[in-house]
Amino acid sequence: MSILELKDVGEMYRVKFIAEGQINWEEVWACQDISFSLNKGETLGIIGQNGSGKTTLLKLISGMLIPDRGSINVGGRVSTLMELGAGFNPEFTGRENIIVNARIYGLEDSLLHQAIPEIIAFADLGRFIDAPIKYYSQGMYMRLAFALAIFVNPDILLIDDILAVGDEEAQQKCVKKVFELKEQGKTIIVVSHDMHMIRKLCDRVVLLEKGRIIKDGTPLDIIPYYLETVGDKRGIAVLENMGFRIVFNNGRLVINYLGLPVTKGIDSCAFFYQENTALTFSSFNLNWKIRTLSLDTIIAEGRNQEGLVLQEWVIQIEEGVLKWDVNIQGLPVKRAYVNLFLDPRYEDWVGFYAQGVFPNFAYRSNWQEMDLGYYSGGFLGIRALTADSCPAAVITVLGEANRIRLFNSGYEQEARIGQIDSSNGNISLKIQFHSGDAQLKEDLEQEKRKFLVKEQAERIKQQEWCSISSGVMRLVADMENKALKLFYKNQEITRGDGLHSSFLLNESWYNTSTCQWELKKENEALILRFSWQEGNFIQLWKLYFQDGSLLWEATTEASLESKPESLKFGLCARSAYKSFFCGGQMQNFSKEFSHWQDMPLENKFAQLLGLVMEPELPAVVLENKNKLIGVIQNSDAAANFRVVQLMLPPELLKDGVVGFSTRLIFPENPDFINNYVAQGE
Amino acid sequence: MKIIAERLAKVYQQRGILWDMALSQFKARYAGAKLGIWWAVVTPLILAASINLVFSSAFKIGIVNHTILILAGILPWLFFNNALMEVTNSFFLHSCILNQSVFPRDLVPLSAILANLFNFLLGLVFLLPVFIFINPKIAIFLPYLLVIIFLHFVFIAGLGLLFSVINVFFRDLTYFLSAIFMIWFWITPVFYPLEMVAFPFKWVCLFNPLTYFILAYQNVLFYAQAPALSVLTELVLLAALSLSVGYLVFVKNEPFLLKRI
Repeated sequence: MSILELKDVGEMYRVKFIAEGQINWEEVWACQDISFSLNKGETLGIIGQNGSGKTTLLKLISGMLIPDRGSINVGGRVSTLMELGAGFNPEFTGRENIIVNARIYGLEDSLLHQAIPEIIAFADLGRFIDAPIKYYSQGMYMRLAFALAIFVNPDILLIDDILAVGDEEAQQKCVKKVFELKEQGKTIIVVSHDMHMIRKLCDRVVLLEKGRIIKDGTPLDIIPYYLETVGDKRGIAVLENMGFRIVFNNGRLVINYLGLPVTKGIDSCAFFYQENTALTFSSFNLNWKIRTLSLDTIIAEGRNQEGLVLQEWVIQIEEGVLKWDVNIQGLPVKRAYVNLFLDPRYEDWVGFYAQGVFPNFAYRSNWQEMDLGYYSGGFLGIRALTADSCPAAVITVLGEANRIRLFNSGYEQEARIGQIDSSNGNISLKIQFHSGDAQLKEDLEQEKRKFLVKEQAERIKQQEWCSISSGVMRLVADMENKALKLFYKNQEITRGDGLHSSFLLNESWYNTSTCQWELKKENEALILRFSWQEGNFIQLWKLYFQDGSLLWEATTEASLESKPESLKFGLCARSAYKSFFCGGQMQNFSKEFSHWQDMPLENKFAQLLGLVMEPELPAVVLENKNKLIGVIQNSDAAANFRVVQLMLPPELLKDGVVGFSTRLIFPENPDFINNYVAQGE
Repeated sequence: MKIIAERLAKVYQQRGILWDMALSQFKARYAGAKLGIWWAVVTPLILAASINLVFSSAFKIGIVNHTILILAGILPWLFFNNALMEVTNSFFLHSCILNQSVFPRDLVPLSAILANLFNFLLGLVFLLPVFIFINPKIAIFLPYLLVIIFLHFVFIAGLGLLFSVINVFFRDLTYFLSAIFMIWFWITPVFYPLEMVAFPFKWVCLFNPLTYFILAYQNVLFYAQAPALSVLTELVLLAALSLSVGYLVFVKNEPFLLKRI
């Protein structure tokens, strides 16, 4: 049964145009050829851009305007929520305003008596109901006006985007009431820009453009179409190829695959953070222009107000894979990221280190991060519960400084969010879709392998950057584990912290592996700066190879208040070393690693000390020119290594600045040590 | 004529809203003012007294109880003047109500005039004892007064509809009217008896429709005479003509009017 019927309705305005002193009256049709009928109990949403005639249509239906053409049949009482609180007199109290305006709003006399307490209860004004409404807050004013309009008990309720007024609590209350009225079977017509609300509230949506209905259907059909086409036409491009349907709309991206939605709404976009302004810029605030549109590529550039190109997007479909590159330029960028708003029907995800299921949205207003374990580059597989709701996809990060994170939004946005961020302003990713689970798994495996290889390559590259070498010897600063490692023919001869320094301060030992590292490579020398929070302790090392031996120079700076009681430099070596020497002494380590023990040395101040060579391992010899105290240790079973150290005597530590230097020699000829030991010093 | 009858029937149907709107406007007029509704009495008294002062002392015009004569004319004149000045702008003043709710649009000007009628009646009720005290015979002719007030109201309503509609399209009317009312006041025999005016100037007064209403008021309130049947007929004709023209213009322009506010 239709309660409302519009037939070829048109409404014309005569608009005065004043240009260069010339006045022109022009006819503008705000609505044209509008025909539709609405059944009782239906909820209709009217959407469209500003100026598309939404409010005019609502006014025509309400009878506030008389159509110039066509006819409107309304089969019931209409109440409008358009300009809430119109007709309220600020000098009158809330109660007086209700009574004075009740009949104007259409409240029947018989209902007025019982409606007043209800209106007051809904408006929740407390004592303020008897205060002049000029003292009301916006929220109170809105609640009162809303209550009055809603208790009129209309057959058709018209709502014009008013629910965006007032505080959030008032809004929530009013929105809840509208939903209640819908449940009660009222016919409701809503004009709104809030697509989330339209989607939830309406059974049917009509889309207006330039005063005409261009689409009429369910919210699921109309809203995505509207969102895709809204905005500046120069900034919109659609790519339809190999099952993909990709819409670029003024700095936002909508992705569909085989007719199924991947992204949600049009919220997918890029942001970047500029440090010197401390502002975050979003891509949809730029002026976009499509530079290239071909069968498989969209290239778009976004300019700021000054016309400077800030973002360039390249969207490409290549061999069934979607590639999305965002290039941020023009400004120094500290951090940039892309938010990919994914459909909430995606249920679970697979990362490199972990996998999981998305939680539901209830009771959460903040984003919640999914624990992917460890992120650095990487990829992500996502899957919906059923393959016919959303296509399974693998998102892979391609850019060098990109990493991927995953979030679950709050209940308002209801989306899964893949966030790909970058420290240099270049974001590059690809998305591949899969129809079957097997295919998805295979692709994930493949990505996993690629990722491993990539990670390894990255590690090697990093090693090159922070290492020095001479012949078969190489010294590598492992920044991640805070260890200086010595390699002989690509085989590590050190263990644990490798080359290290430690000191005793206030009865605690501190180590180079527990401090702040800074590394610099200069003229084939590694320059390291270590700083400890405790006692403002700083060490500066310089390490370089000379004639096959490693020179090690170090300076230690301590504050005056706290001087270390003991300071040691040395190295930890593999347990493959079975014997050591010191001066004329040559001895085997004890076979078992049971507890930390000092090897008894005959001459602690011997000029040379170290480890005797083994098969495939060179000898390690430390020069002790400055008569420091030599220490040779055997570790416990857990550490499982040998230690050779030089200790600075306490009297040397009295000054704030202490120097240390030694030379490490790696003789490959057993005679070197044998001769030295034989000489007996 | 049929349209007017339909419209009037609808207005009668919605008289509740009309009443509420008029009452709220009437209340709003004095809301916050210390003297409140007493202004309805004080304003005509001050005006009458000042006019009397000017004419009796400066121009030495001698009419018995001149102040009472002026008061009998100035009350209906103030009603006429205030109502029309207010109604002219009424569609803009109440545009927000028109955008909120749907009801007969004629209620907007009519309620503004009705609110002014309340104001007029209030002043009259307080000043009536003065008239009766001066000339007790008046009491007999009070029913005539009601008839005259009703016809006066209808006359103003017609003009009000006309002016309020014209003002939506030509906003200059508001400013034009404030000048016109000044002239209109002088050509209406409020502070002078019509007999004092000689031809050909008298024609100006006789062409002024308001003259007949003011004369009728003065007849009852000052001279304590029943208005002649011919006079009443004149008033009925004037009121009917005014209302017809006002309504016709209003109905014809209603769709365009709504787009402008």
